[in-house]
Amino acid sequence: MGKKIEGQIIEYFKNDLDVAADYFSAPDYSDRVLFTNGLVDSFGVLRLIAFLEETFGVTIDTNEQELKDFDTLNKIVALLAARGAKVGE
Amino acid sequence: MTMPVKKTLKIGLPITNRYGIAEHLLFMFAGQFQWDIIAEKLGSPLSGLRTKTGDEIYATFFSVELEFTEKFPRSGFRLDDTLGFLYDISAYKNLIIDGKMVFGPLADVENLEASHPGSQFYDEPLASDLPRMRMSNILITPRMGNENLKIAPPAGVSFDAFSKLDPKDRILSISGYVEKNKKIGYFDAPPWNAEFGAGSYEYRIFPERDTNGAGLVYFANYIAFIHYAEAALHEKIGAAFSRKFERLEIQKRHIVYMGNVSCDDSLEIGTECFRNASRGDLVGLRHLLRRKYDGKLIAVSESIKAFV
Repeated sequence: MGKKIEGQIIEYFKNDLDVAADYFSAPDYSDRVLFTNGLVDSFGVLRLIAFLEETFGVTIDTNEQELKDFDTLNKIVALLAARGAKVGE
Repeated sequence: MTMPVKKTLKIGLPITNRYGIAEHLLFMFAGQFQWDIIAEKLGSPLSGLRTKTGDEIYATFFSVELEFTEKFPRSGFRLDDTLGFLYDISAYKNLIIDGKMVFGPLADVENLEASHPGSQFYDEPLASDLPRMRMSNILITPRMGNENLKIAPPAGVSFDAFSKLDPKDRILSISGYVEKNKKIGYFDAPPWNAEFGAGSYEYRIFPERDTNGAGLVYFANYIAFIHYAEAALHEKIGAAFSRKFERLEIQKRHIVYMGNVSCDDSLEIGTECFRNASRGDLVGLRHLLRRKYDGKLIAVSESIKAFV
């Protein structure tokens, strides 16, 4: 299920945030930087947060969470797990 | 549901040009009202906003839409008229603040306010024939100058006084769309075509006049830069045509900002002029504003104007 969730997030990056599909084909794709290198702009982070909240039923508090916490797929999945999303089933 | 907020303004010389209310000055006053309302709702002056680590935060505009109506054209607003501005301001988390505003003669605005509770005064289809603006802010902190602005939530303030902005609202994806497509979309379909031609204009930032107290090039001044580019295009097209263009009146504009420019840089402004095949009195204008030093596209504006 963790991989399934990762797949959903990758699809969102490809389809809604216009990240090229081959960005996620590298062996280290889960740790590749998504935001701080400018690959996705600030508004993309906001749209990602809205997507994560709606899709995985979590609440992301931007007072507590820093935008760098969304910077890689692994960080996003870890954040979802910490917020109660069922990422490990 | 939060209640709308009303501001009033008696039109004086500082907001007018010779034909009535001036567009870039309207942006300034409307923007100031919005900043005042945001500060009131946050319970903090905007100059006091800081990140958790103490960096300064500014509410900068990333999208501004203006639309006059047939009943209330831009030139219908004259010296000493008293205007009402009715705002509904919503927020997405503590990062985006979106102001929907209707303005016009104070009595008309008060009638609208009384007849449409909450934010319904701005609803589609138009709740009134009053002009409207939508002004959207993102909270940013400058890092390494104006060229590098980062989104940043403020610490120690509550956004509970704002109504909730739908995360699916088009405003959250407008910047990405415009950056990718280099247009807003006013002229996508017939009867618009690019018959009047195109031109380019370079504007050197003049910090004494162009910047604001945050050190950023002020959002409303971009409209003035666009006007310089438009005038340059008029000259290119021809003097007779230029005189005609002088009486073009703004009907509708949408400008999207995707970055800012350094005070020692210039803007390269590309202008395309569109003709409306079924309305000879209308002209469409698209402006692409790029920073000279790195060529980055930082703003796109589209407007529809009418010969009067």
